[in-house]
Amino acid sequence: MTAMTLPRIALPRIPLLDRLAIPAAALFLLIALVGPWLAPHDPYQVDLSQALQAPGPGHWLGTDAAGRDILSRLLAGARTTVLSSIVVVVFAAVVGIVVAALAAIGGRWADEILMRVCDIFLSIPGMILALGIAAALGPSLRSTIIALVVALWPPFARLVRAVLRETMASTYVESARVMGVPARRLMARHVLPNSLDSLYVQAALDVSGVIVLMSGLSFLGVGAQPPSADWGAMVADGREFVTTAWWVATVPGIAITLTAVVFGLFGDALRSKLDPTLGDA
Amino acid sequence: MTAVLRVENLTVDVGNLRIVDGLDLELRAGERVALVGESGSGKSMTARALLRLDPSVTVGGQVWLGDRDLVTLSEKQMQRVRGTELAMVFQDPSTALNPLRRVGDQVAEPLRIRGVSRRDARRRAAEMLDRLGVPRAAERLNAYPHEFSGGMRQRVMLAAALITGPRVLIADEPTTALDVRVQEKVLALIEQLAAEDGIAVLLITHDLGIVAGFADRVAVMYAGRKVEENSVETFFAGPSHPYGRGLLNSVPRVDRALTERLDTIPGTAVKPSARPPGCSFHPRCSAAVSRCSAEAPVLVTIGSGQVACHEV
Repeated sequence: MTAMTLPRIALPRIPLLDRLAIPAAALFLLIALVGPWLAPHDPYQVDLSQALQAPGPGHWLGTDAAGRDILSRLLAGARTTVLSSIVVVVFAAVVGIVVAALAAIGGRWADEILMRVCDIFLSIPGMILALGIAAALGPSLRSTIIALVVALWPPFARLVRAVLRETMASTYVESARVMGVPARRLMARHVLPNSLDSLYVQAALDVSGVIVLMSGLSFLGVGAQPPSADWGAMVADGREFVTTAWWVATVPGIAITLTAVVFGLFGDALRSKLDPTLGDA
Repeated sequence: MTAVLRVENLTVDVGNLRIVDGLDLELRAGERVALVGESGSGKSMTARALLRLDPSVTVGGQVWLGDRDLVTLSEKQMQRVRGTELAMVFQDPSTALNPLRRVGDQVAEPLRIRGVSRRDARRRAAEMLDRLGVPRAAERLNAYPHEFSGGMRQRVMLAAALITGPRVLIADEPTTALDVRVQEKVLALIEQLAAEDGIAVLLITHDLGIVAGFADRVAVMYAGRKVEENSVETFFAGPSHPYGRGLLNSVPRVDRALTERLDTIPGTAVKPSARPPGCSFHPRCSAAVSRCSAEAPVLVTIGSGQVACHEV
């Protein structure tokens, strides 16, 4: 058989999406910050006479089984979901950078050991690992954050290590070394600052994944505890009414999806802005 | 005059491959020596080995800088030698400067890491850039490398290399990436500063035109060995090694007719993994005799120079 060349499929570039993604992500971030003050009702006010109201003029997105306003709970929960996802990504990135930098300047053995540790973490699916750690630490928002950081630093360490090695091979790093710059300063002043571009993209893309993971964990009951308004927990609460009051589970589900998509697109937009080889300009 | 840098029987091994095989070289204060040879002859590896830049490479022999043998120094001691006593500039100035740091900080860095105060280091950086002919040096300290042209960047590199007052400057094809007029200026600057400060310069190049205008002495490398060393005058008057002769004949000359074909050296450069027995050059040599394929020639002193060839 002769070798076939696969037709190259060009992904359609949608410049509008790129352009919208950054303001959209900014908007979601703003909502996460000021959400609780925008809520039309008290998100924790139980009113059983208003239980399971369909979306309508009084409650735009309906109410849940305890009669709490879903829109208000969504806005209040945006803070836990979005901000803690960002916290998770920042911590995972910092741990990843530190590990990668140690591997890069520590010589062959340090590199070998740290990367094998990475492999061990990577061999366990992130969700399972995070679930186990969160359950072991006791269900709470804080243990979810810790669990996700533990589960998520290895891909960062891998990525950063690869980029660091590339940067370390560049001539300006070599010429700094020739001038007698010691390894630690070399890393801090010359290698790291020139390596972080691709990290920003990875971090932005990861926020979207972490939002889903985080909601998943609280859906399973190891995340933020009731009565706090958490999107994953809200979906879990609405499960039993899905046939009679679809909005209780569906509305927070849509919120999770939408937020994840917006931050995903934001990451893509960032990549096309930072990577000159991808730009269509 | 005594030698500031004396290389004795230098060997460089990468894995099982001997890249540089028993090189002797001597640099005296203020002297400009050119190390020439084609790609793969081991000239750049020699430069890198002198500074012990590649941890994965095994360096053997002795490299005397003053009364210290650099081969025996620890990495930490070596770090102190790099940039203070033994400086090096690289080929491509467009990639040799950190794009994210201000030029002044990069020139001053060798001083900063050795405890000079920020203010003093900046002042000396401005002076150094000024000596190298960077206009408005003091203002330009805050500029970034992309604001400089290629020639200016090479001056910045030189300023950073020379700011600590090294005794030896290794220049690995410092002007290859520059256009000819800028080349000339940069070389003139190196020559002037080396003379003023008594710095010995080891110029690594394959451009014989540069060698003729710049160096005092030439060492020719072939397949990891030095095959000839002579003063520039003697070398250009007629090298005694067939390889040197071949190199010289393959340079275009203004005093020959344009219709004349340029001489070439037949064959291609020897790979270190497939060095022929005897003289490494004999398969390509027009003067080769049977002895050349059996016995490696040793360097013999002829006049003020040295040649490794059976036929001289």
